[in-house]
Amino acid sequence: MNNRRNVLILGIAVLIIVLVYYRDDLIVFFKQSAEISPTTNSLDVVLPGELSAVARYNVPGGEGVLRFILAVDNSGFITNVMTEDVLNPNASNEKLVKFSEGLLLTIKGKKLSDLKEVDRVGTSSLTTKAFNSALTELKAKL
Amino acid sequence: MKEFSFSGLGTIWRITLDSLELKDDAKKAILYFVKEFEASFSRFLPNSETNSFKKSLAGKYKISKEFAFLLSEANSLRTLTKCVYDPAVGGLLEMAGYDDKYRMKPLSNIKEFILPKWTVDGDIISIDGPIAFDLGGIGKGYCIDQVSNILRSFDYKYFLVDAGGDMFATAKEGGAPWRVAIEYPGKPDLAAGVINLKNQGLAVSDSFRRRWGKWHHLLNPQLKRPIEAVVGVVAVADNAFKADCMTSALFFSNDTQYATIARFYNASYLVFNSDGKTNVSSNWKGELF
Repeated sequence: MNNRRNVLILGIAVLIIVLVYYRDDLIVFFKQSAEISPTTNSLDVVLPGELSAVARYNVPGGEGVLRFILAVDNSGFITNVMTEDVLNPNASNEKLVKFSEGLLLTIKGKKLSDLKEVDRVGTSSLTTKAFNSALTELKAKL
Repeated sequence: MKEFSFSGLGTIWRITLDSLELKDDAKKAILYFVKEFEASFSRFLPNSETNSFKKSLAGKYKISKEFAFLLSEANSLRTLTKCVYDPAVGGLLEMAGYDDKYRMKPLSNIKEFILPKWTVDGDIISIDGPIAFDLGGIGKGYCIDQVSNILRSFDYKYFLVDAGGDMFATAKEGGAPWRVAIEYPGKPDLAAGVINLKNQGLAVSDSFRRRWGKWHHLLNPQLKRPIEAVVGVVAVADNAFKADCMTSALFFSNDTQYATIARFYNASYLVFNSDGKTNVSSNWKGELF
């Protein structure tokens, strides 16, 4: 898992560097490729607005192959990142995470009372007395 | 540390100064500004400027410079969210029961609501008929920043302005940041994380607190129903206004739009989804638990 994650991070870093360095060329490329009809059966075809790269890595017992797909808008900014397990394209894999600009995590939380040296707590605003009274009255009628 | 606390915009404000005490003239200036701002822009006050077009005919009207600024910024937010955020949603909120009398019961014909059209050009607003504005998604952040400006005008340099959980913080005297815990949406005894604020604004919003039956205060004006895919959002930006705008944008958009919106406001963010997963922006600097 760590090996695959490292490959994932490295692949994305390489693609980002390529995008930033060749940004102007890419804008021209995307404009020219607007007429191309996309196909989805070949690993070598890039859909308009997408870039992909394939990375191979060694794992115990064999080889893994990951395809990184970046969706890029007209300005050259990455709007979505996906990964595909090339050797098992139809298999669902919980470890391959789709994320648009950052990460998708499960946050468990920690008790506020256990935190030390906190100056403030950021919260959504508490409701007013009027709101609370009306809600209490509404619940009483139900 | 010294703290000055008061009520305003329907919440409790806490202004904390690092080492100094707030003088009476500064307190008066702050109280006056917040009171005037609420009088001008509260949806719950019948004579506010935001309510002044509820019975108006279609046409062009002159508005205050402050209202013009807020509507101009709201228009940017409307564009960024592809019109899912729209401050003209005030009428829908009233039909849903969140009105100045707190009816707390949706009208049976709520699906008939039609979102009014409006544009703003300088200090002239154009409307297509009666319209009720709600600046709840951006007004408090703006007000926090103006209070911060008042503090600076009185030469206070090290402070934290907290308006019911949304805030702006300078550095502490000595340069250290303010350490702020972030409440886990819907779980008031838990913290989702902690962040250090230094010359930054923080905004937090969720759909749990202002909820009545199946409804809450964040409504999709196109679908005429509450937003349910997202349950809580947090944003950090250069000031409280941008952070407030960012949290509104996050509720009224989807994950394919977050990057563009975050670049516009130069913000970092958390989005708590109803499925239990949280989107964390790549530039989020806080600690998460």
